[in-house]
Amino acid sequence: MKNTIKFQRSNELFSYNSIDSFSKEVAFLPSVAFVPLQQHTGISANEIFSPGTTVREGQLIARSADKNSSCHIHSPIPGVIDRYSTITLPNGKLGKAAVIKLSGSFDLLGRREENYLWQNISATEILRVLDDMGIINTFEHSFPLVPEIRNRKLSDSRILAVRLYDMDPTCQLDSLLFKYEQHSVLEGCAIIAKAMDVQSVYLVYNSNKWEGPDLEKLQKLFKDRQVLLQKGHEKYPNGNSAQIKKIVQKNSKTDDINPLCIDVVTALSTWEAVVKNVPPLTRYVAFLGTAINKQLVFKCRIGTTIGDLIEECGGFKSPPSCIVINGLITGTAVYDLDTPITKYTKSVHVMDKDSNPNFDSYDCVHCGYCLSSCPEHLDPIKIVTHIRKESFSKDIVSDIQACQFCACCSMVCPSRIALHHIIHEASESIKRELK
Amino acid sequence: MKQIEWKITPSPFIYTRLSEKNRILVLLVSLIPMFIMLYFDRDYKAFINIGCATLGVFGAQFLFNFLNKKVTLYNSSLLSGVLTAFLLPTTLHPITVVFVSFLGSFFSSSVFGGKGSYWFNPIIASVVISYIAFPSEFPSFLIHKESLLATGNPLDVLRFDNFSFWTNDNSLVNFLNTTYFSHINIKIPEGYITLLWSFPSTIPAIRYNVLILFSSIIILTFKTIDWIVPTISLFVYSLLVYFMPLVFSNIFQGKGDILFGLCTSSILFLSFYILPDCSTNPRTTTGRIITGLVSGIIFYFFCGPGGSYNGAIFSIVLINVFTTIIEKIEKKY
Repeated sequence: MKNTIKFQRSNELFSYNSIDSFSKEVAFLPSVAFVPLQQHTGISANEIFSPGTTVREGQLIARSADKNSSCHIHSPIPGVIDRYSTITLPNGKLGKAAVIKLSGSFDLLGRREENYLWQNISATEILRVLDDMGIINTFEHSFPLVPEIRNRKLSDSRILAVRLYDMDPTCQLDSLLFKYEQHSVLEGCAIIAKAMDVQSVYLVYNSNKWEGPDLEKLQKLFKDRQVLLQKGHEKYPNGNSAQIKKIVQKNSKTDDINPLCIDVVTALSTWEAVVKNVPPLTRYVAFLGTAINKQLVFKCRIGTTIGDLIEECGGFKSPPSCIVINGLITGTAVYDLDTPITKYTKSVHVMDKDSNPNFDSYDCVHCGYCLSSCPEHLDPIKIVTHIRKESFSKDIVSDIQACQFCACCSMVCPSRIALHHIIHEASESIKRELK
Repeated sequence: MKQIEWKITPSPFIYTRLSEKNRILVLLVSLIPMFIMLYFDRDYKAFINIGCATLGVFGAQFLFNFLNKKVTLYNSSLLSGVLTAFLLPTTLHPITVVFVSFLGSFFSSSVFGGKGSYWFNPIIASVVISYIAFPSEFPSFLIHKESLLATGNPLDVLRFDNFSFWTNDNSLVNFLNTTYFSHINIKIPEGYITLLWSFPSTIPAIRYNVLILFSSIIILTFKTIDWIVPTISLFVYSLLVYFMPLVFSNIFQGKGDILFGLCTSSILFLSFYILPDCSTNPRTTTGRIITGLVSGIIFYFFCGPGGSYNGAIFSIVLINVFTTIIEKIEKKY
C-alpha cells in the first residue's frame, strides 16, 4: 500500500510504500557479529578485551570513554572476539568494530525473562541502570540518554516529550512499534519520566485519534505527573525537535523550555533495560523497498550484517541500486552489505534502479520551489549561495540556525542540490566556532 | 566484502518533482505530436530549422561552457534549439537559423550568466534578432482594426481576405454542429477547426493549437512547469479579449473571440513553453500571480484580439523586463 504525505508549506506530495503488518519475526543469530564501538553520537567507547577473549551474551565489551558523550557497548552474542577491524557504519562513516564469532551458551536467550517492578526502583538507580546498559536516545541524533536526562533534571521546567511516530515517515518503525508494543513503550516513557522527575509528559501522536489507553490509566502509569495527549502535525515535517518543541511551547506558560524529546525506540530499550534487565542486544529493524522480495520487520541482533538480513527477506527481487539506512528523507546511503545493525538502526530501504531517483546535480534553475516549501519560511538557495561565497552576515547565520534540516528544500529541488546538507555543514561549523 | 556498485549520494532519496534532466525530457516528449504533424504536413524545412537551431544553441552553449569552465545540461540546449525552431519562420535560410540561434543563446548566456541566471529568454532573444534582421520573413498582422470594425468578427475578416482555411473545415464544423453541439444549443463557426488543427503559417508554433493544448495537459500533469503564470496569463488575456476585443474601445463588448485570440498569435505556445521558464519568473507565489496578471495584460495590449505573432514575441520581451522589476520588489519584502 502507498502512503501519501503533504508538505506543511506548499502543496508538494510524496508517497512511499507502507508496511501494514508487524509479525515480530526474529532474525537468525549471526555466526559472526560486527559490533561497532561507536553506536552513538559522540566519542567511541574503549575496548576492554583483546582478540581471542571469550565473551558472554550481554557482557560489557567496550566501556564508555566519557561521562557525557559516550556509552557502553555489550556483546550481542556469546563467542570469541576474533579481531577488531574498521568497518562501514550505518551512518556512512568508518568505525572500529569488534568481530565476535558465535560460540558457547546463551545467558539470556531461551532463559526465563526477568520482570522487575520499576515502580519500586529509585530514580538514581534507574539512571545507573540506563548508564550501565548504554541506552541511547534515537530521537534525532542518537546521543547517550543518561547525560541528556541529567542535563534536563537541573532545569526548572522538566518536560518529557515522546514522539510516537517517525521523524522520517518513510522509516515507519516508531509508528509500528507504538502500535504493537504500546504497553512496553508507555512503561518505558514512565520510567524515563521517573528518572528525570518530570513535571509534565507530552505524548505526541499523529493518528486521527489517540489509540492508546485513556487519560486516567495514563495518569496512573505516570504516577500523577501531568500527562498531555497532543496531536502532531499531519503534514511533513512533523517529528523533528523543532516541531515537537513548538507543540510543547503551545501549552507551556514559559517561553524558555527545553523538553527532553524521546522516540518509541528509546522508550522500548529503556523498558527492556530496566524491567527485563537486558542491555540493548537486539533491535527491531524494518526492511523495506522495491528491490527485496518481502518487506519485513525483524527483531535482530546488533552486529548482524544487513546482507544476511536481506537474505532472510528472500533476497533481492531486482538488482539493487541503493541501500538507505533510517529513511528515505533523512537517511544515509551505504555501499557495503557487511554494514551491521546498530543501536540507532531503524530501517533499511533497498531500492532498485526504477525507484532510485536521478542524483546528478546541476546549477540552480531559479525555480523557487525550495523557497515555497521551507516550513521555517527561509530561502535555502540564498543561504547556500552565501555559504558558498563564505559571506556569513548576521541574517544568514540566524537563517542557518533556524533551519530544521527537514530536507523539504532538497526534496523539491529539480537541480538536485543537497541544500539541507550544505546548510547543515555550515551550521555545524558555526557551532564549532561558537564553542 | 560483498560489494556492489551502488549510488552513494546524500539524502533525500525521495523527490516530489522531476529532475531538471527529466523535466526537459518530458517537455521534449510533449512536442512529439507536433513533430508528427510537421512530418505529415511534409514540412521538411521545419525539421531542417530544428536541426540548425539546435546546432546553433549547442555551439553557443559549448563555447560558453568552454570559456567559463562550466558543465551544464546539453539536453537543455536541445530543448532550446527545438523551441527556437518552432518560433522561427520556416522560410528562413538554414544558415541564418544557425546564426541567430547561436547569437541569441550566446548573448543571453554571456550577458546574464547562463541557465537560472538570465532574465531575458535566449529563445526569444534569437527570435527578436531574426525579426530585426529579416522582418519581411515574419507573418504580418492577420486582421486590422478597420476590417474588424466592418465585419465584427475576426474570422469573417479572414474570410473576406480570402484566407485559406483547411479544406475539411466546413464539413467537420457541420458534422460537429449537427451531431453534438445542436443538443446544447451551441453553434461553432466555420474556421475554428483550422484555428485549432492546422492553421496555415510559416511559424510552426501557431499551427497545431489543439496539440499544444494536449501537450499542456502532459506537462502540467508531470509538474514540468509551474501552472500559475501560464494559466493566469491565459485567463486574463481571454477575459480582456472577450469583454473588450478592441483595445481602448468598448464597441464589441462581450463579443470577443477568445479562441481566435489564443490560436493566431502563438499565445498558447508561448504561455506553456516560454513564459514558465524558471529563470525568467519570480520565485514566490505572489510574484508569479502578479507576473501572470501582467503577462495577460501585456499580451492583450500587444496582440489585441489576435492575429499578431510579432506582438506576442515582443510581449515576452516586455514581460521579462517586468519580471525583473517584480523580482527586485520581491527581494525587498
